[in-house]
Amino acid sequence: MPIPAVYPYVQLIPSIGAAGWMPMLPVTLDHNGTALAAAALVDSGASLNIIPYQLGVQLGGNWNQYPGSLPLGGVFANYPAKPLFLDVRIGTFPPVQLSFGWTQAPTARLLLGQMNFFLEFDVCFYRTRGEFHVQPRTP
Amino acid sequence: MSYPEVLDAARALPRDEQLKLADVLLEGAESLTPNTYELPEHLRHLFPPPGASFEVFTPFDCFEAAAVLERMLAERKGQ
Repeated sequence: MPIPAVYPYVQLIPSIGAAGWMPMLPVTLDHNGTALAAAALVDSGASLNIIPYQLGVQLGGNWNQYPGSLPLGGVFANYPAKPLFLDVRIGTFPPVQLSFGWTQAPTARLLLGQMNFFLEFDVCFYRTRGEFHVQPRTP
Repeated sequence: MSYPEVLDAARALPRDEQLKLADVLLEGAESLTPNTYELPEHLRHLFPPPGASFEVFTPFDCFEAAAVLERMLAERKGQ
């Protein structure tokens, strides 16, 4: 069984105290050999992974590769979205292919959600200790 | 020796030797401490600057899109 990697909560907004600390995960995103380092919010409440439009463009994503639009709802419903598949490396773990909703919504953040980050990685949040643990799923 | 065989052998030990065995196993378990990750300085630029706003809109109800991605991912893995 792999030993989990331990990451600190990151203080994003000092002015609001404890509420400003978030589980931000440094990741390397790779799309057909174009790689970028980024920080993703580990969001267990998200039903899928999200990548902002500009980040997908920087990775060389082809917006027109898939016809139609991904049916994102909620606050993203009014903006076009496409699927984007990336190889994602976390720490020293082997890269894993993750699917993203690639949205043009200007408010989008890089999010790691249930489909399929949480299907590939086990995560334990230790908010009181200010850290979270990530490890690849066990077969 | 398989795990069930080890377990049976351990249960057959006298009580004091079971305690010694527990000590040895716990000592080994303590060495399995997780990798501690400190955010390195060169990654600091990935995060918003201190004090910047960071609105997050969680797509908590995008189940249809999640199902589409799941199907597409399965198709890609099947290729």
